Amino acid sequence: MLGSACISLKIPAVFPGGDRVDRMVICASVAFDKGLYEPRDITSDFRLRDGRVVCHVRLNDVGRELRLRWRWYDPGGRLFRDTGDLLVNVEERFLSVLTATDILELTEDWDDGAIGRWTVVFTVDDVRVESLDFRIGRD
Amino acid sequence: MILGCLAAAGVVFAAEKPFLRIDGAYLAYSYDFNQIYGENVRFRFAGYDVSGNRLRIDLASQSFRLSGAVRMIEPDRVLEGDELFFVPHDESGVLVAYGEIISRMPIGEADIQALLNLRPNTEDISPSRIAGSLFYFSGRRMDITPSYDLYGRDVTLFIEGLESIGLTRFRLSEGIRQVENGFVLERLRYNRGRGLNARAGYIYRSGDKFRSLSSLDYEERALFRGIGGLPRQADIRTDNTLFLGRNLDLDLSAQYNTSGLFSSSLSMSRSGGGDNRFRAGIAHNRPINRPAETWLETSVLAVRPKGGRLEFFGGYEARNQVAARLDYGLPLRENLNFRLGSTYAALRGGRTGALSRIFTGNLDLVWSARIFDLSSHYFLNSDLVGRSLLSQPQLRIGLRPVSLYDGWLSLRLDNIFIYNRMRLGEDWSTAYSNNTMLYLSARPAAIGNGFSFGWDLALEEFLEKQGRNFFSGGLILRAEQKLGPRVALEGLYRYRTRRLSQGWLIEGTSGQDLSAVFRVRPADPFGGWMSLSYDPAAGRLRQSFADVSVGLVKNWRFHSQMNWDFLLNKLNNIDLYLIREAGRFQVRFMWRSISRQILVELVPR
Repeated sequence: MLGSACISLKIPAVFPGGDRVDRMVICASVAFDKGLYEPRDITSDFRLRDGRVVCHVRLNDVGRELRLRWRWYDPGGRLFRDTGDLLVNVEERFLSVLTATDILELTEDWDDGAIGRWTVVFTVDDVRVESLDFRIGRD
Repeated sequence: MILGCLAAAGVVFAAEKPFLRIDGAYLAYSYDFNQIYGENVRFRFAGYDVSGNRLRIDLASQSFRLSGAVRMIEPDRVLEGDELFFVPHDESGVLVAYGEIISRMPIGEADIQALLNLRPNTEDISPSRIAGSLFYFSGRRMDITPSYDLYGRDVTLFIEGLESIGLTRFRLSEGIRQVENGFVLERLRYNRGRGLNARAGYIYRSGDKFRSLSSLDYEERALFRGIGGLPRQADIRTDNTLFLGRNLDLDLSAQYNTSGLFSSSLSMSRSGGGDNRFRAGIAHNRPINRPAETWLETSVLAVRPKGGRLEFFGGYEARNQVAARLDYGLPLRENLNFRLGSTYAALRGGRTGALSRIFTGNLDLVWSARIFDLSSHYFLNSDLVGRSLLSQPQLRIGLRPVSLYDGWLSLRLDNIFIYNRMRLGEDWSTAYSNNTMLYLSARPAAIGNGFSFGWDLALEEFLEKQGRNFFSGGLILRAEQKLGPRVALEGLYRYRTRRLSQGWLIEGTSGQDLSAVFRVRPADPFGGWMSLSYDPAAGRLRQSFADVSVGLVKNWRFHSQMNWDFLLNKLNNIDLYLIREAGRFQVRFMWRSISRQILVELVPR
């Protein structure tokens, strides 16, 4: 018996679903607000005495396990801190929003090589890349 | 109406060839922010077929950034990196890879640092920002032209996140300044008060040799009922520049209005490096109800690092009118400045067209010290026909604000002495005056339990030869009681007095008022204030003002301003606004009680 199957499709004009980095910011701290950690005091200028630099990331529509990773580069362009892969959502639940942070600790006894423009790079599954610049000054 | 404006902005009759064609699994353009966001994109750039994960473009700052799994392929090699910052019009870019070190590979003749400095312009571009726009378009192909116009193919328009109409090929961006060549219908609007208004322009540019911009503004009122003024009006304007050589331009401009106004000018200008320039030209103006004028004009600007700044303008008109202006400024020392200025005008005016000849001159010497400014000015005005003359030397001493008690108290003192010598015909008269002003201000000091207090005092003494002397003073007391993190009650007491003294007679006026303001600092979703003013002398309330802002859904906001008059016991006015913040513009729906009109405005920001 002969038969045929037919498939037709329409590409949606709205934003496609999928885990995507919606926003990445550098800030001085985070605060728990309405069930999520949200950035506070967003800035790109820091002093060594500030003690820390926070990189806050917000991802939307996460429906599977993701590998998140932060890499921090000093003003000479050398890798200073690497978090390695951090697994999130291993249960593969659907999350409309996921926020994540990494912190660069600052100490006042750092030498002049730490003064200048830094870069933080965030990757999802080694493929999706976000980067931001910020400055560290002495005083 | 909004759609009409957008559509009008999109009509273009001559399009440029795109210099960047972007194909993507998903592309979105926000009209509000003039930004593009794309995913899994590919395009051709600097001889490479480029692909990447995430594209962000800020058209206003011409910043382009591709992130994630960036591949650049040409026939004999493949480049890979994590991010590409690039400028399509000069085919330059920098490919960045993040490994143990950051490696940066230039593409074309790239200024790497300048390209990396563009990074902040693309940092805020995100899917949620684009989707939160009042107007955005989505599609799978977009073209950018050399004048940074954006065209979309098979795009869908979204209004406030709701899918609207589909468009086969549409100009997404707008603006007469962005277009390199072609005819643009820039505006087509109907307003109940002004009728129909259209603005069209034609731009032509031939390389670096010639540039022309012509525009027509047309207003039609006769076709609509109840609109006053002329039935219709047109205004035509053209500006043309011929670039004759390096630093040498020839400009021709003309303007005609159907009311009868006409003006035109032909000029040649030459710049001599830095701010130095020379210009000479002829201008013809035909105003309404006055004779036409034809002027020969020349101007020179010469700036020397040690020789100062000299500016001269001279003009001669066919009916023997003359105008000339000379300005010379020279910094004598770091804190000592000298300035000399002079004008001469022989102009015809009035019904008879009689010639008046006025000469003015001024000489200034200003010394700025650490705690005070001392300046002397001399001004001369001589009417060479009417034989009147004003000669006015002036001396000003100003004490710069002095901070006392660790900045808590601020003191400023100014004194101006003016001596006038006037001649009217053969009669001479003199006058002089001295004005002294003292300002004392105390910064609000926290007293405890959220209460703070501050004050301002101003005193002025005016003395003159004619004896119309006066003394005036004012005092402001300010207090604030914090009632919560965003809520405060403020109190303000003002007292002012003015005493006139002429011989033995002293007369004066004084006034005072007391007002209170209840303020909620703006934050989501509510902000606003309400004030109440009270007249202590009369013992009654005067006015009350209120300004309330409430955040609604998304970027919509309700705003209201109202005023209650206690003397008349009635609501003077109330304005209601519904506002949508949309990046580079704002949409406002307004109702005003005074005019009893509903208005819709698109306000560029």
